[in-house]
Amino acid sequence: MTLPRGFKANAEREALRLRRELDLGDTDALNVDDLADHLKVKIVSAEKLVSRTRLEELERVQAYAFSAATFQVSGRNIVVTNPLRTAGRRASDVAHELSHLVLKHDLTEIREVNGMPFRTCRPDEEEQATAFGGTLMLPRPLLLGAVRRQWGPTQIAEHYGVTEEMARYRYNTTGVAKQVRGR
Amino acid sequence: MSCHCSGSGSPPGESLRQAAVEAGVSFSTLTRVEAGAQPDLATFTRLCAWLGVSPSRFFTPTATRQMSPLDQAITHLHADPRLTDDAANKISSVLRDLYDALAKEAVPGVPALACHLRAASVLRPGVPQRLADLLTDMNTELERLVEAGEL
Repeated sequence: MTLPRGFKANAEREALRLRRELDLGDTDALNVDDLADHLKVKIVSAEKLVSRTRLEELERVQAYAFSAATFQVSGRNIVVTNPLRTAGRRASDVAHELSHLVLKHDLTEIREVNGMPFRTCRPDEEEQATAFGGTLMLPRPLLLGAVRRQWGPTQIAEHYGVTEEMARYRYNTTGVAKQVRGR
Repeated sequence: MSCHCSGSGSPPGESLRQAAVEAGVSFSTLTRVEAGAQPDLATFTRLCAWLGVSPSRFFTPTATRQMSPLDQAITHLHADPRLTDDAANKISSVLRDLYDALAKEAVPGVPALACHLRAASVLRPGVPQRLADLLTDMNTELERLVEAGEL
């Protein structure tokens, strides 16, 4: 599955626009909680809604079975996060969920979990949200700044509070290292 | 398929020429398609990529057709060269009877929960039950908190 033509360039522009609205510089770290506030989205830890023991039990049966969910309650969007995740992973999950909202993805697909129907997004929209979430956290200007300081994915992940997996994905797919070397 | 390539400020021919370069098709081909001619498969694919749309979008009737698993199975049976029409009909009939008798009702009366879920794509045994219960309880508690003005 591929992203629509022009999606990546638009994502970079949109990420920078949102950062400007948050008064963030090009190389500042994005706090996803601030972005959620800005977008008028509540973030709630799942342990405020259900017991932590149940979440831990689910995690024991299958790690990463549940990461996050966006509920629509009385016309409001509420992102529920899993408290068992690391801070970096939580940031990725929230960025992903907020991306669906920024990209105005509709909940058009029905996914059944044990007979309970849930309305969710299409698979291509999932891919778009993942790409946009990464762009929000680590836009190109930020990555270029990091590469000029000779940081690799590990240092980028540590400095900007994201998972190393996300830092590596953005580092490799944006070609920033090659761009800096070429100068 | 029709392209509307006339850009503002530049002559239409120039915009079309630019569009042809961007899409990776020849100018004359794009002109013909613009005039309503059917493109060949290679041109069609390139134009779809350039427009950023899925080729399936132009085949709406087949793309949006909803088939139940039973209908899919029966279609496969009728397409099987080893089966005569009569044999395919007999097996289909047995399948329909079995399906009617054994398929569970699709959760009658339960409205779909509006919930975008970020979870593992493949769930191990024991997970769906726990996850469905958790999500349902989360939704109920969120509704209570919103109703009570605590969120």
